[in-house]
Amino acid sequence: MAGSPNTFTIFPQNWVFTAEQLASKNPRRLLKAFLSVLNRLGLRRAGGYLFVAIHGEFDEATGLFHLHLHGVADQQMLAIIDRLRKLPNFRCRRSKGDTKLRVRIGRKPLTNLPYPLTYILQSYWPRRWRGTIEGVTRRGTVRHRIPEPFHTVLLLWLDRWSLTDITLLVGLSAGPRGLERAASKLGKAKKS
Amino acid sequence: MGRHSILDLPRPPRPYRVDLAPPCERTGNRFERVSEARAEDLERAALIRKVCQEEDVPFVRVAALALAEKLKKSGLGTEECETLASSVYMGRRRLNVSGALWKLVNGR
Repeated sequence: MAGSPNTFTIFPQNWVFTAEQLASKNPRRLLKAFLSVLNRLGLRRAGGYLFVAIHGEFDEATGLFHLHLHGVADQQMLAIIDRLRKLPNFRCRRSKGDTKLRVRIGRKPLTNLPYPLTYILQSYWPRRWRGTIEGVTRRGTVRHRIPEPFHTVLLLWLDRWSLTDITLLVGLSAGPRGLERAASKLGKAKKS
Repeated sequence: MGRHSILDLPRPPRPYRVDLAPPCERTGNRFERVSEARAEDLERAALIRKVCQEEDVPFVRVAALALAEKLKKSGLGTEECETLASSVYMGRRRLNVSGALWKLVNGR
């Protein structure tokens, strides 16, 4: 995967929650578990950088929140992200109704900047239609407002956390000078 | 010196101001304006207050109404609030984060 940094989206299978379950979820722990998985795949040896943010959407038919990650990484880190596909929690299972990959990495060079990057950290969590058409599970492309009371449940959950709780930086430091690549060769994760 | 975090990211330099970028060529979308974010916060506040009038709700009503009040003030522009639940607050943060990422990606 020679070339420039690129964006990605990851849908872990076990990041699907009812409203009640969401209320008890700690995003820092979700990210910590995700980081542990990346470490087992060789993150520390990889070098490079990665930035991810938690996002989610609501499926009204099931009453479930589907949390996922949007991010950007350079090619060294994207190679680690790519290895997630082999793991059960990130594998696309068509027999279980998955129609799209759970690990989606941009393959073409980033264009229309900055818009792919503004997609990483979002302020709006949508409701998307999910259903079956001719036996195949589909996910709608149109974003709608999450209905009440679920939207209030979500907002109350978000209100408990800080930006540093829903984001993860690896190989990067953040501060008044912006985002800078970490000096160390090892991919060192920082609480964002 | 305290440890810095993503919360310390400054407003980016002008070439990386996502709010000043031309609309996306593919979708025509552009970065949300403050007025739009404020309208969203007001809408969120109104929807919270409305659902709190129902008899049975799956959350603590007092907490929800307190959040609605925060969002209303944010929407009116009378008081800034620092909550991920606020479109205005997240718009500010998104401006800084997206700009920082844009500069990072360009700098390789």
